[in-house]
Amino acid sequence: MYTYLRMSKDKNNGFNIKDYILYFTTVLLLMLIYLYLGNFGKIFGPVSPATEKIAFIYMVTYYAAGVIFSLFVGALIYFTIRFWDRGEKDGVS
Amino acid sequence: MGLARVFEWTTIIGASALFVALSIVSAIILYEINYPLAYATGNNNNNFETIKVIAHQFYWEFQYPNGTKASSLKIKANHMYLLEITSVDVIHSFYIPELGLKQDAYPNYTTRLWLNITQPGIYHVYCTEYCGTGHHIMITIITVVS
Repeated sequence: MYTYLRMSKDKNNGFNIKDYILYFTTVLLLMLIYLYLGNFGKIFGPVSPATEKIAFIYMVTYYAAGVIFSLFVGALIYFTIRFWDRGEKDGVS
Repeated sequence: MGLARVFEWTTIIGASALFVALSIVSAIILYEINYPLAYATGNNNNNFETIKVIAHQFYWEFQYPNGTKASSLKIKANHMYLLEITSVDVIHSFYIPELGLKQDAYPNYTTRLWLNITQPGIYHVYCTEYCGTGHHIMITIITVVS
């Protein structure tokens, strides 16, 4: 409730250019971690025309899933930290 | 319209467009994998050999066009083969991990798998459908020669 009130008081819901930069930095970091863990979408060395096509589909799907994953999880992580209700200094939240 | 709203609609429209594009590209590529001769012209249209693959509990049997039978497959590189896969007992699955190709083998039914390997070497074949107590020993090799 406090978070909602604080947000509604601020212009543009309290989300400024700094927040966008930090959010997209979070997204970019997540995307890089995702690609590193998945060997940048390379699963095997293609030794057949059909395998090349399979590898291509895998890579496209992997990158598309990575974009969606990093946008979603990036928003989840960043919004959780950004709008964390830490309470007032006098202890009233 | 605020930045957040613009971002929201960009995400919705962008994700939808991405999924549609991905579906169309995947459909075209999967069609090419399943029907590699569809775009071949002239003499290339019939330039392939058919090999029968028969799955047993717990081994693979290959039948070449001349009637020869073998427990492992030996083929030429850069040559198109059509594998006609079937089973005599239970459901098996013909899987070549190095190529990412897999096709199920059903009793009384023939499935097809187009095979064209460009690099000579030895490739493994596993059964990836649990078929009984000897499932884990149902392994063979494909030898590709130049």
